[in-house]
Amino acid sequence: MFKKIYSTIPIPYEPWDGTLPSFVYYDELITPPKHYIETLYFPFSIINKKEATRNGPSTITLLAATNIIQWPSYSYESWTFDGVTGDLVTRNEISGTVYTGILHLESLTEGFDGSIWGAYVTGAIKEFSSVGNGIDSVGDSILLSHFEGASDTKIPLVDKVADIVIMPGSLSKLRVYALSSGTLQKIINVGGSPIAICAEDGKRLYVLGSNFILNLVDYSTGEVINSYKCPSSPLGTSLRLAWDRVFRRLLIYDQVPDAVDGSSLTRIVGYYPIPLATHITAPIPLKVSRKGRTVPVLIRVVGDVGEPITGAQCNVTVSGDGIIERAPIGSDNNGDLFLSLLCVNPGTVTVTVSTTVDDGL
Amino acid sequence: MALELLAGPFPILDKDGESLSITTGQYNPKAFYDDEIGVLAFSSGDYTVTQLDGKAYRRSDGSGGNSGGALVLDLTDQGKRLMFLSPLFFDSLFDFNKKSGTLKDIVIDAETSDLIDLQAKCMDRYLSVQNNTVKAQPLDLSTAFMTECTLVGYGSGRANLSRTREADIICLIWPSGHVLYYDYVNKVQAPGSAFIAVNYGAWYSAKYDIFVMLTPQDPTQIKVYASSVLPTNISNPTAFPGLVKGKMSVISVTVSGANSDKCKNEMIEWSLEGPGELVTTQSLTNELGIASVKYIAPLDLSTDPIITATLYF
Repeated sequence: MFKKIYSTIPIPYEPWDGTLPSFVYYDELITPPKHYIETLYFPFSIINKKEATRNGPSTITLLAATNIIQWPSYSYESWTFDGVTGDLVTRNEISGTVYTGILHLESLTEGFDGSIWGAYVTGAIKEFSSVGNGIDSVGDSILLSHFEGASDTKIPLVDKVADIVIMPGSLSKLRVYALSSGTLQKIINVGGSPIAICAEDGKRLYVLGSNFILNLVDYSTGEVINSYKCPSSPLGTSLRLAWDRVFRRLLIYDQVPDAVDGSSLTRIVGYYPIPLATHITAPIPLKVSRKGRTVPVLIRVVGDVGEPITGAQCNVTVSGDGIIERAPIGSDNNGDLFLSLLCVNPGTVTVTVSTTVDDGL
Repeated sequence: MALELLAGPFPILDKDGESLSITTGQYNPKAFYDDEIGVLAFSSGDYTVTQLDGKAYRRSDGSGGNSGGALVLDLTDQGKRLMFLSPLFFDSLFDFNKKSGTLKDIVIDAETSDLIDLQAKCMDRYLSVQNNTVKAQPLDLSTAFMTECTLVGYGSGRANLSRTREADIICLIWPSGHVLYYDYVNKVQAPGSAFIAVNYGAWYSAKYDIFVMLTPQDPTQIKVYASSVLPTNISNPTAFPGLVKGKMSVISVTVSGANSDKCKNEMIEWSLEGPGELVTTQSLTNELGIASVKYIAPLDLSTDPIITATLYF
């Protein structure tokens, strides 16, 4: 679990004005109490850009496909939000040469160098110029067959400077290729079958598995640096990640079902990527207790994949036949706290431990 | 010597409080205890981390070829790293990221089941411990496992290996509950022994100086044992030399466990009824389980004093 530090408003839909098109698609969208002409279908990408708004230095853009009630029953939209307030700055229909073949477009992913790469279900990737109102292709498609032994091109993460592209392999693997030659350079095992990916700083990336395990990975060494539980909803199916380089937060798009009236409940949420405590273990005495003996007691603070929580402050109270000789200060790198308990009489001692977790917004 | 239970048994429960069955095995230990992480195992194919109180977390899926493999102790880095022996044919050995539950670089691809007995990697060889035999195999697998030491006081089956606070010593714990120590540098049995309990896996914790055990049932549970013996017997006090008017005698008791094991560092409280004086009222048992106090008899000692030794739990 991460601390939630940012949220956009729910992705705003256009209300239905009561006018019926000549043929109505998805009539459930305007069947009362629902009254919006569109609903989110699936996301291509969330992109963080350094561009000033009246509130701050950055914006966050969602690129997504929608289902709509009029012909042709689908649309491709971009919503841009203020990076500080989360309010909507602008909304546009996606345009540019990306529109050609967009029916087969599976994802758009921002690379380490800021380049944008589209992945197609037909098995190809292609670079695009920019994000906003117009998205234009820069180069030709690179086919799946270009990459040695590749089985899947979805969510390609490119580092043009290093001439690298990282793509999911079979099962819980990332495959690292030379972008230019397609030579397989490395296979990295991760915690789950990748469904979303984003570049962090340097050579690091976040990859999200279908089991909602989130790994921070250094692709240059192949090392999985950390494991976390993705703070997604239980119903979340279409997820996208982005690393906010301005505010150093992890942005997660987690598509959830619309409200009863048809309005969207989906937001882009920013998290401070330091795990929070979700469990304090039962106190474990490390020596047998005897009258007059000081017994060290182990307490471990962990997050929601059992990862250690460092620096957690806990309140400890003791009742019964013992007293606290030395209270723990803060958890160490393994999440461990040590309580010194003096057993003053034969009998039992009850140790109660609690901590306060600020999960943000 | 029977070790004293500190905590547990704790059922292994997932985040929703549902019982979780982790993979254990006596032939190829599929679970492992690590001080930094907890009990590492696989559950329904997922790599699972369980804390000492039984709280379990899935940390990676096993679909990357992980499910059912065995974890191997890597002693080349003070035992802090683990390796992974591939399942089914036990023919590939990988470096293992214990934090994420993911495989790293392949170390050996034997293409045969030659690695099936492998339990630990040293600087110069691999180790395997079964019944009373410590066997070794060169890192290049040029020869088969060969006996390098025969142990005394061993258990039956394949021992679980864990590092200790001594850099050259590893702890061996058999499913039968026998605990021995082995100097893997000098290739000799190290002093010390203990008995924990019949188990599905048990390990010594070098950081906490405790033993962690999986109970022999399905679903298994976690128990935590002290490294000290559970006292079950305290002898009657004896005096040496015998009580003499105006002289000092040393009064002693011996504290022992169920198998007459000596109990160290137990606090004995002394009390006196009758003439004379005890120099102190408390003393600790030594490595032989003996606690002593000095008694000074009065010059007019006429009746025997009653000296009582009490061990409080």
